[in-house]
Amino acid sequence: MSLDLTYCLLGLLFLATAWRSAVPAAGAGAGAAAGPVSGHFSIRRLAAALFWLLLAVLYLFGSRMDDFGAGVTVIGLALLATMMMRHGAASEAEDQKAEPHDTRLADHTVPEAAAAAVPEAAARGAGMQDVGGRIFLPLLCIPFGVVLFSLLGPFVSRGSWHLLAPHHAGQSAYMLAALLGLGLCWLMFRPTLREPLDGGTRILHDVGWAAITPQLLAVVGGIYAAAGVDHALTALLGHWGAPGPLAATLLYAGGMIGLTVLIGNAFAAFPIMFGACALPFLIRGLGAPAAPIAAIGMLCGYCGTLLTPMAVYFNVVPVTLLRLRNTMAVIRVQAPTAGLLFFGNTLLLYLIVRFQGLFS
Amino acid sequence: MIAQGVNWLPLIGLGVIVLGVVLRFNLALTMVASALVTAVLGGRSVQGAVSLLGHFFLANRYLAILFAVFPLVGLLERRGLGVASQGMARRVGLTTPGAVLRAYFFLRQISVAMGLTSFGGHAQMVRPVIAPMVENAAERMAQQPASNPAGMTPDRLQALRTQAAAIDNIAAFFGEDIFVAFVSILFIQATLESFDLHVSPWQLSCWALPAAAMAGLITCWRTIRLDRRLREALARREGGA
Repeated sequence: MSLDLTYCLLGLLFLATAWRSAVPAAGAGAGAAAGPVSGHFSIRRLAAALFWLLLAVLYLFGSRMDDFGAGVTVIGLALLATMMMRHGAASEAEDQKAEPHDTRLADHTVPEAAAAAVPEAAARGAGMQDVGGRIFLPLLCIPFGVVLFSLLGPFVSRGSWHLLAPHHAGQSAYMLAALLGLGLCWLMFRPTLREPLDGGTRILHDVGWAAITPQLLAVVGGIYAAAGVDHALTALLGHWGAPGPLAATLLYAGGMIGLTVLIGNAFAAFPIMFGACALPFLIRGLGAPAAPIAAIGMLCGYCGTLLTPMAVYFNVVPVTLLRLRNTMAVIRVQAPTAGLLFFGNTLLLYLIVRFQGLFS
Repeated sequence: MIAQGVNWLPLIGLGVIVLGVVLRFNLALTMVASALVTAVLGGRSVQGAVSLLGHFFLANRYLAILFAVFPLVGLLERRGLGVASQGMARRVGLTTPGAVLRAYFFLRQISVAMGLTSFGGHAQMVRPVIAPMVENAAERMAQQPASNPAGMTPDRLQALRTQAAAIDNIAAFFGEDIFVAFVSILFIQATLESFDLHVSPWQLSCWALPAAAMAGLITCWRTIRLDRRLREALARREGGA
């Protein structure tokens, strides 16, 4: 399972999503219950189809593309994203039009179209019957499959062929585990090829443009480092000279949470704040131990991740997946916990800096 | 101690993000704009900036690996995973929304701390399994048949689903740093190495424990309060009726 093959499989999934966006009736199955919107042309649907098509191109042919071409494609993706369905209120309204009752998620995720495509399921009556605990088995294939393949993978290779891609073993193992789960599903339910594809593209369609945000956050982090944003911030913080224990702690913890809220990624904020603040002031200046300062500082950044819409994958994607009305709903629920944890972590940091003899 | 020859201009890229969020531009567009502006102000040509954008995107394509599980989840959803989850919650005695959320929190946190990061996630667990469990528990608290939409108001069900999503995030964030081989620990270690500081991953993971314990306590308190509020609201409604 080389990385290229993994990308090709993902690319095919994106291609199927593009097809589904362009021709919704095909995605909904037999088409009998496809709803009133099928066949109706809309700019949003066109934008969505193009978006998934471009993303599929990046995954299917990315290894043979030059950086400039890929960059232009990514800009195209971002522009198309603005034309796709908005998250939250707008998409909710759109869905309400298509499928009128949307009070319970459980009902919603078993659309009539699916029941029509699966005769036995339809025959079981209006509400789906409890199929029992065995349905969890394919889902459990994921965590245990990942561990299994990660442990066994390095020993399975022939010549230049490796079961796991050498530098991305985790990703290969995850893909293999997902395929293992699908294989088990096939043994248990004998689904048509179309069923997992329909189900998968439906969820991906719900995720929408947010699907590219993890990669974009990595891009932002990488470009900031390449352009020297960290050096500029270090120089900026250097202006304040050497603060006392309390001020230095607050600067470091506050900087971690603030910068993470701004760029949506604690991993990008950590090297900047550690180099600019923790190292000169807390560790070199006040002699605090490095391990707790680094570990707790990172966790302060995680508190920031809970608070920012920039962390689209954690805070905005669930809004669409769970069909919530308010885009900020998840952040609002997380805020009290994040605030308390930030306070606790900052206090702990201060105690470590102040009474370092007890901790080192 | 102001450093000479520092290029301050790239900091404007951070301003682009603030502007994009405040003016409610699409976040994907905001990120791309900030990246391009930063690269250009950092001294690259426009073509160079676009190439850099493409380079980092291609190099980070592996982040989409989580979508590999979607076909499996989509298939299982259609085969009644939601209904099975509700039955499962009933069988193991999780009868209130708070109890379901609490159980999921610790299951998720502990499994993540053992390195099983892929047990959970919004698409994989929250939407098909946990959200139906929580909704069903709430509806049975209201002592209404599940098929009756009057059992719970849509607003309340929305709030409960939101809780489920938040629980997943919090448990994962404040559990993953306990696992010594997690990317975050390795990343911290590599960063410290670059500053010539040498720490063992065990030290780092041990310092993630206080926050993990705090997150557990806060979650217990909040889920207990959630159940109490729900009960009060239901009692009020019955009293009023």
